[in-house]
Amino acid sequence: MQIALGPAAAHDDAPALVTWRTQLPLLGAGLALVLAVALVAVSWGTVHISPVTTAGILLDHLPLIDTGAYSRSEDAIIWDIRAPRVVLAGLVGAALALSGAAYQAVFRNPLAEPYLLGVAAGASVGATLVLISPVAVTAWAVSPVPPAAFAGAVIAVALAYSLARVNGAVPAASLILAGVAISSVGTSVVTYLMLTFNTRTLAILNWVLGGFNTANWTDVAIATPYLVVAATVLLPHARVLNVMQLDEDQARQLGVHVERTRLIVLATASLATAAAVSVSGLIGFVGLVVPHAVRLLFGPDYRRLFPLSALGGAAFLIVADMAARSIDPAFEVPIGVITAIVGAPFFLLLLRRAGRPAFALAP
Amino acid sequence: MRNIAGDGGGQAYPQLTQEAIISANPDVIVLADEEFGVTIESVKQRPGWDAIAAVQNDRIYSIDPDIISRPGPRIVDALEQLARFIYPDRFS
Repeated sequence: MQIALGPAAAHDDAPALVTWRTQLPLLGAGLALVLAVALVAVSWGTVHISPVTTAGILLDHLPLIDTGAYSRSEDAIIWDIRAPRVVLAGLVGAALALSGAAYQAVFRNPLAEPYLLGVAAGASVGATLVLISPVAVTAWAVSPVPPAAFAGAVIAVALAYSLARVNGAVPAASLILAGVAISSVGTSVVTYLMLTFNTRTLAILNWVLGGFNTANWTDVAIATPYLVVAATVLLPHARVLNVMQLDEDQARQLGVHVERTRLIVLATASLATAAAVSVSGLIGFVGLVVPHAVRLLFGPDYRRLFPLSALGGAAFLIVADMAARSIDPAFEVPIGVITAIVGAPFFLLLLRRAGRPAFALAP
Repeated sequence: MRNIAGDGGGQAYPQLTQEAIISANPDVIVLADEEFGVTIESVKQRPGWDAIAAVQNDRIYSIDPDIISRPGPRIVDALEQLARFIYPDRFS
């Protein structure tokens, strides 16, 4: 029998050390990938504008740089239509994938995704109520749909959390079931309203299907703060969440405040998801599958999984949106259709080839 | 004067992307959907649309959808309306 003693023995099978510094090259590569994809996406569209002109227009919007040489309509197309759209797709993708990873960490469940606790259903109810109201949405200076969707999402999650509360504790299973029940109620309400107010059915359906067709800088300004807050709160929790992948009781014995961590992580992830959904509608698949793809490629350590999920989600949704707007120039394909049709086979391929279980709990 | 959606891309009700409209740079825009909340003001405020000649020269008009979207004798009234929008100087 051998007993591992000393650093040499421990070194043999110890997992590679993951610290913020050792993964800087990986994160840098991920960030570079997202930026490259974003640049391609901005110069890509139904109207042909050369990459050189595109770069010139983008640089011209930086202070102190004046490149000139482009027309006013090219500037409008690049800066007012495409750039906010690409940035918003990136932000929403990052928010959904990061929140998905956080939900999976907290529930220690591979099926957990950011819509689990009723965010999607709550947001749909909020958006639908505004869309069926007698006052036209366009009559407002700023669209009231995002705030209403956001409020609906937050109310739904708060309701699920408070309903699952038993004697001051919130068991994970009760929380999931409360979320599922609230989601069903929300979905039924939306379906009923959609069929009752049949002149608005198309508007509601358009919102529910999600997309970045009407993206503008206001949407970007709405979504950005929530993503920044989510990243600042979630990334430092990665280490504790690694510990929580052990049994809940073991994590408690190791000094982790399980209830409090769960509340903080879920609240942050839900807020980020609510903000993402409020500006883009319901885009499925990203929050569930991007973290799994990252997990299969780079392992289950949340210190690596969180930042890489965010970057992967951003790149994935930017590419999906590019496909959504260019497959048929006269008709935009709903982005949820793209994320599922293109994303699912890719994910299944990863799943078959990875050579490791899809959801190992311990890093 | 030419309709920017004239060939329709083979579709009865073509949908143009925003960038296609901005790039085509129409001189006149006629709305038939004010009942659904798309107003002259809301079109003017769309991001990026200030690059379109029709927006810069205040040549966005609204027409009654009942006379232009229904095949019937009133379609002639709609035609006259369109002519007034597009060639205002001929009617002065």
